[in-house]
Formats: sequence, structure tokens, C-alpha cells
Amino acid sequence: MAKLKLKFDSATIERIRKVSEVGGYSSPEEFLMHVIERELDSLDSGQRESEDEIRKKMQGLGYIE
Amino acid sequence: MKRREFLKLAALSPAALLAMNTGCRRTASPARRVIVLGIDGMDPFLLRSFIHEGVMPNAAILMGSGGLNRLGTSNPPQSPVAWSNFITGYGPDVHGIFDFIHRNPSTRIPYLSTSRVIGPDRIISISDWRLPLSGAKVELMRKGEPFWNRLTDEGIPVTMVKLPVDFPPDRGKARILSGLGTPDMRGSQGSFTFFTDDPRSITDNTSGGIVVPVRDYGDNCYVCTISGPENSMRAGNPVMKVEAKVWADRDTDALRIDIQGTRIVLAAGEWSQWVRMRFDAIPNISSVHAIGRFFVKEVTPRLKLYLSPLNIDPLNPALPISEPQSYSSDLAREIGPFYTQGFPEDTKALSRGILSDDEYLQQAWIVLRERLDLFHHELSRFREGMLFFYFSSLDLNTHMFYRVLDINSPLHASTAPRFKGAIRELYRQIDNVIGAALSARDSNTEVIVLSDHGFAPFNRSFNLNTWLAEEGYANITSAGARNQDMFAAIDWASTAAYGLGLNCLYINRSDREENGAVSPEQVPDLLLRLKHDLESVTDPATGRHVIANAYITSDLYPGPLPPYAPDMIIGYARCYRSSWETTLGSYPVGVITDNLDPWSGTHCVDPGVVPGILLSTVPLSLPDPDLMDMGKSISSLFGVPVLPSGGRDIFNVSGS
Amino acid sequence: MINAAAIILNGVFDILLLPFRPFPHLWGLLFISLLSGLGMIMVFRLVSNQDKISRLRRRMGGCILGILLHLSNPLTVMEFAGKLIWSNTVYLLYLIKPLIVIAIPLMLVWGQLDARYGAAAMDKEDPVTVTIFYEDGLPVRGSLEIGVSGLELIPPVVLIDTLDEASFRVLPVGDFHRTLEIEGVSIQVGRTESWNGCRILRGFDSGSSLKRLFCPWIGKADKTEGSPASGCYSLPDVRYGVLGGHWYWIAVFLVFSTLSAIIGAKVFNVKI
Repeated sequence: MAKLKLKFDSATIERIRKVSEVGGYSSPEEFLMHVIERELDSLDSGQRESEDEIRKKMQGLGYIE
Repeated sequence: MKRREFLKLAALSPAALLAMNTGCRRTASPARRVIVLGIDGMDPFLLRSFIHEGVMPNAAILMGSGGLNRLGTSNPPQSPVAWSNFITGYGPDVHGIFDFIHRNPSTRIPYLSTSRVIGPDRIISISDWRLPLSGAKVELMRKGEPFWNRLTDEGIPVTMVKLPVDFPPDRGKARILSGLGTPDMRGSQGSFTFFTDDPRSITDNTSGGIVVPVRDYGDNCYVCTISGPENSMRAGNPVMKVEAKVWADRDTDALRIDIQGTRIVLAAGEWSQWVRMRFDAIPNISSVHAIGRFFVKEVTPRLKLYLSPLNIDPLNPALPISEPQSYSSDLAREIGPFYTQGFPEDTKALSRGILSDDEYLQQAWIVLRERLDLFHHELSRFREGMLFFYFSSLDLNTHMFYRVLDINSPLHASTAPRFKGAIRELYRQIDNVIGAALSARDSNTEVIVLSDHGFAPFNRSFNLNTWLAEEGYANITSAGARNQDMFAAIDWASTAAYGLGLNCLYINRSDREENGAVSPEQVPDLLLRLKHDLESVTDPATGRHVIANAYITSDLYPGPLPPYAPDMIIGYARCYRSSWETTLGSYPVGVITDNLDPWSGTHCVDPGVVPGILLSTVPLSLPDPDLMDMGKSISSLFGVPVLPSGGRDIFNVSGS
Repeated sequence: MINAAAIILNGVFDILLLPFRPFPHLWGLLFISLLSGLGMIMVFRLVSNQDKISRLRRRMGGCILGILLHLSNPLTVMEFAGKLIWSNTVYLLYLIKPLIVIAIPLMLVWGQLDARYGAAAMDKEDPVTVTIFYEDGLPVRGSLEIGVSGLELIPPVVLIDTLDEASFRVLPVGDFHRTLEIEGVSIQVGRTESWNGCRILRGFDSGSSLKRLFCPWIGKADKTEGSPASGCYSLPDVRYGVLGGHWYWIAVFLVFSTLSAIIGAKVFNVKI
């Protein structure tokens, strides 16, 4: 697995620790991974085609509406 | 050598060579040739009737030599599935195509099953511009090895024209022009454009195409903007556009269309030739080419101008539609441009009322005439190996005009009687094609005619999803969204099953779907219960069973299945099909309704209802031929040492 | 005078391309392209001062060598670079004269090739759209009479008042000369057979002859009262199969004339 270093100020690190504990994450790293992946999924439009895009591709197929 | 001997030898040599040459010609047998005509949707019942009527004398000749056989189709009997069976010799468990529409197992988002476009890996962005460092790729999602690889490995030439489920074409030594599954330039399966100033025609409905409102500001000129493909070189992928100026002459009821330096004159009721268009991604540097046909429906009092889906220009293809790539451009130079989209007949324009029955048929004949030109061109230069040629005309036109054949169709009475001969005439044309293939035959040529499925009426629609909801298998929580597609009305946490595509049903599994509600242990019992309940559904209007067989997929295909495979395949009884709404996840009110769409014939039913046909100059050695047998059987006619692994050799010419 | 020049020029190219009639069109196009490249280089040799160019090239070579040898001394490099730029400017000045001399013949050849290899001939199955332009207003509807010979006129005739234009379609019939007759003016339309190198008309003009000299795809038409000033015919472009691609005539001409000019310069020791 490739590594990427991130630097946070100590107050932010403390907040991450607290939130990850309250959220039931096994570690702050797991919490960060989850948050980043979720954000990436929502921002990266290339990963999931929009519903309009899907409708457009199926347009003209006589078998469906 | 003495001078005299030398002169004698010199005098004899040309004569000897000539004699050897002519001798060779007399004694050598002609090269082995097999002509395979793939006639999508040719129905055994209709074929037999037309043969008896004397409409199909050439099919009758073939019937005399090899018999008219029912050809086992795929389950479900949809063209992408069936032709994949033909190509690979295996079923969906191997080639992976289960329906026109698959879905992401996790998100349930549907997509077309046969191909997908993958964007470039790396892009440089400079201001508004995006410059791809690698090209976008189109991926064929059909798996399995095509049977003709065994032939090309032995140096046997293979040409496959308009081959279905082969976009982009398989790389190899065969010459291939892709057919069914090839998109238009907008990336859809066929999207027309209709320019009009008639307010009654202007809607937001985008099914099958777009209606573009235009206006004459008093100078008899309409500026018609044609939307083409998206420009992937600009941020946000804006649509590339081409402007056409349309000048109306209301005295003569005609138009002049000025587009990119070309002027076209058309009177009302006329179709144009192919018109080439260039869409600039970066002006003067990068552009893509398309072709389209105009049809002037009306000039006075309102402008009604139809533009066909923008087809990939075979001369300058923007996407890989042939193998080798030069094949399509060579054909275009030799016989002119032609429809390249997979579904060339614009059935959607008829369904939406943009084209009338008459106008649709005119377009269908244009497609068929083009296809015949292509066929005769290929046949005239076919010297050796296998030539496969695919015709879509019977399939799409039987879909649209089954209502004239079936007196029980809800649209039978309202369809003009003059269309009653349309299907017969199309079969007659296909018989001429068979005749041409038989005429090209010599002592070492075989002719095989096959279809992927037959046809049945589509008079009643079954709202599978609505039925699931009514029977408690799905939970509608948003009644206002029932008519929205993509399952907008559903609460997934309390839904056990859902229908998507034309014949597929899925269990909402907790180990597969997001928010899935059914645990893996519950699945077998649930499937058995669903099977029983579905096979018991009767139509209150007729008392007939709606579903002939509900197949549990793992019973049909016991091997490992891909995660996107359906859990159940619905085999509808004759006259029934999944409703238009249910195929993309809507829950309209009412379980069984009349089908009032001109799309009045179907084959998306139980495979036992719609077998295909097989006519051949080679007699069959085995009973019950199936599409999956054809690759091995055709290969055996060439005597290749290694036959494809799938299917049986139904000809068994070697007698092994 | 210009009319005579146009006739002579057309005749010269007709004769030049005569031997290629039985062969594919590309052959004639290649022949003229190679000949033009060779011609241009020979004209360049005659018109340019070869000694001066030779000296200049040597001087430029010296400057480049000087830059390479004195890379460690920026001032010297800059001095040589300045000399190189000056030599380049002088070289461009030397080119002006041959370019002026070549420009006119090149334009004439360009026009001839465009007229002969730019568009497809009329097809007996595809109608051609003819558009006629009026300078003094469109005739009144109903009064416009179009006579045809060797052609079939496909109605309707579309009149566009806003543009003073009329458009209609014609389809070639038989193998005769094809002409339109409008207001007593006879207009040659085109031909169906396009033997290698034949001129394919893509329009007509009643104006200056000079235009027809440089654009020989424009046919001549007289001007009478009420007759159109000019017109054009929608004929499709032609592509040529070269090295697996489909090239427009311009690409064939530019590539092969340049190639022949470079080879000609080597063979005849022309300094360029």
C-alpha cells in the first residue's frame, strides 16, 4: 500500500481522536480513511455515471421506454 | 545444351506452362466457402406460412435440402444474449450477457450490457481545455472466445458484416463490421432530432430523441442547432454543435438546408441523402465526423424537420466500428455511406409519433436497401472462407408491425390495412437475399440461414415491480414517485426483490446490494416462493397465465455466475412482456395493462415460445439444433483440426 | 486576353494529363504534384542568387559552430546568435524574389488541381443541388424558367427572397453535354464521367475572366437582363487512398510536391 504523509496541528489531531472514538472507529486512521473515501466518491464524477448519463446511453433502445 | 535442344525447350516451355496452368484450373476444386445469413427475428411460423404462400421460393429450395428446423434460442431470448450464444458457443454464464440491461450489483444503477466507454487515464488541464494524454477506450463486455478464431488460426478468411454484440469489434484476423450494440454519435442507441415550430409537438420527453423548438422571424429562415457528441476536450464536457440554416419556401412547400457549406433542397415528404457533418472539439485541430439524414415532414403551415440519429461516419469513424479500422472507410468509399448505428430503424421516432407508420416504413426501406447494397458488394467479392451477414430489418419491423398480423392486438383495428403486407414484403426481400446466396453457390459452397429468435405478440404489459410491491416483496414508501424510474419510490430496507431489464429479477441481498434486506440464507426459499407465485399469476382480463416459466438462474446455469447476473429469469407467456415502465425500475399503478405502443411484437418471453429458424444446404445429423451449436458446426464444414469447444457439431460432415 | 490565357492553361493541363486517362485519378494528381515540386525548385534555382545563398548558408553554419564552441562564454554566444538571426533575415530577403516569381504559377497550378481533383463528378443516382445568385433581384415566382439539356430538373425550385437566391436539383441523364438555360443564357453544369484529370465545374460566373483563370472550376456564363450573376453546384469532395489514409488532394499535393522539391534540390544541387 502506498503512503501519503499528512500534517495536522495538535488541536486537530485531538479532535480527530475524539470524533473517531465517539464514532466507533477502531483507530483515527480508519476514521480518516473513511472520510476521505466518502468525499472522493462524491467528488469523482468519473467513478459513477450520473443517472442522466445512464439514461442518455440507453436512449433509443426500442425495447425500453 | 545444344542450340537445337535449347530452342526446342524454349518453344515448349510457354506451352507447357500454359497447359499446366489451364490444367490446374480444370482440375482444382473451388475454395471452400460458407455463407451464413443471420436474419434477426425470422420467425419459424411466419416463415413457414410465407413459404406455403409462395412468397419465399428460395427459402423453399433450402428447406428442401436441409429442412426447416427450429433453432433453440437463448434464455432469455434477447438478441444480445442470443447472438453471444452464437458467437461463443456458450450461454450467459460464460459470455456474461444476460439482458440488454445489467445493473451495478451494489448500487442497482442500470447500464447497457454490451459495451462501455472508459475515459482517458491522464488529462492535462489548461484553463478551460482538457488535453487527454491517452485515448478513451471502448470496451466490449461480452466475454468468451469467438468461434471464428479457430478458422482464422488456420488461415481461413472470415468476414462478419454488421455482427451483433461485437462493438468494438474483436481484435484478430477476421474482417468485422460491428452491428447491434454500436452507438450513435451522442453515445445513445439512436437519438433523433426533431426541429419544429409547432407548439403541440414540443415536449420535454427525451425518449429516443429530442424535439428542438425553432422559430421563423419573418425571413423564412430557421436556425437549427444540431447537438452532437460531448466535447471531452473542454471542462464540463459541453455538447458540440453544428448550425444549419433552413430556408422555407412555403409556395412550393420545400426547404433548402444550408449546413457546413452544403446546400440541400428537399420538398415536403422527402428524405435526404446522407449529409456529412463535422463537429470541432478544437477548431482546425481536432474534430469528429458524423452522418445524418433529414426528412421534411411538413413545411406549411408549420416546420417539421426530422434528423436521423447522428451515425458514426464510416469514412472517418470516431469510434472503432470495424476490424481492421480501414474496413469501414473502404466500404464507404466503395458503396457510399451507410447506417452504422446498431439499431438503424428508428422505432422510437414511430413510437413517439414523430414519424408516422408510412414515414417509418420509408426509413426502414432505406435501411434495407443500404444493407442489400452492402450484402451484394460483399457477396460479389467473396472468394473463400466464411461470410456472415446480418440483417436487422425483420426484427425491428416485426416489433413495430406485429399489430397488423395479430387480430388480438389492441392496435390492430386502428392500423391502416395497407400496412398488412409490410411484413410479407420484408420476408420477400430476405428471400431474394437467400436467392442471391444460392446463386453464388458452387460445388464447394454451403449456405446457412439462421435467426436468433422468433416472434410473439406483445399485447399485454406486466408491471413486474408493481406486482412485487402488491405481493409484499417490495415496499413503496413514496407513492408520488411510483412513475419515476431507478426505483425512486422504494424503501430498500424493506424490499426483498426488484425487476430490472426485460426479463431479469434480482433479490435485494444484504451481502450484495447497498441496504439489501435479504440475508444469503433466506435467498433459496425466497426464490422458490417467488417462482411459485410468479408462475401462478393470471391475467384477470383473459384468465391466462402471464408467465410460462420463472427460471432460477443458478438452476439454469449451475456454474459460477458473475455478481451482476440476475437471480431469476422471467419467461413470459405468449402475448405478455414486462411493461415499458418496469424495465427501468418504475412502479406504475396496475399490474397488467394493454400495450398501446406500436412496438407490438416481442421475443422477450419464454424461449420455448420464440425459437429461431435454421435453413441449410447441409442436412442435419443431430436433432434439436441450438444457436450454441452453430460455431462448432460451421467450423467443422471447413475441416479445421481443432473445433471450438462450445456446442455440438450438428452437421457432422466428417461422420465422426 | 485573360480568357485566351485561361483556355490555353486549361488546354496545357488537359494535354499533360492526357496519358493518365486510363489510370486511377491519384496517378495524375501525383504526377502534377511531383512535376510542380520539381518545377518550383528549378525556378528557384534560376531566380535565386545561388552563390549568395551558398555563402549565407556557410556563414550560418559557422555561427552555429561558433555557438557550440563557445558555450562557456555567454557574450560570444550572444554575438554569434545575433549574427545567426541577421543571416536568417537576409536569407528570408533572398527568398522574396523567387517566392514572388513562383507565387503566380503556384496559384494557377493550385486552381487547376482543385478543378480537376477537388470534387467528384456528377453521379447518375445522386441529384446535385444548383444554387443561382441574382444581383438585380429574384425573378417573380412563376416567371423563372429553367431549361435543361442532358439533365433532369427535379422540382421544386426553392426561391429565397432574403438572399436573392434560387436552388433546385438536377440529375444527369444520358451521356450528353449538360447545360442549363436560364433567361437565354446557356450554362454548362458538369459531367458524369470524370476521367483522370478532367475539369469538373462547380459553378459559373458572368463576371471577370481573371477569377476563372485562377478558379478554373468556375464556368463561364453570359449576363443578360434577368439572368443570374453566378451559381454553384453541390458536388461532394473526393479523398484519395494514400498510405492507408484518405487524403484530400491538397494533402497529396503538399506532401508530394515538397518531397519532389527536396529530391530535386539534392539531384540538381540547388541551394535552398
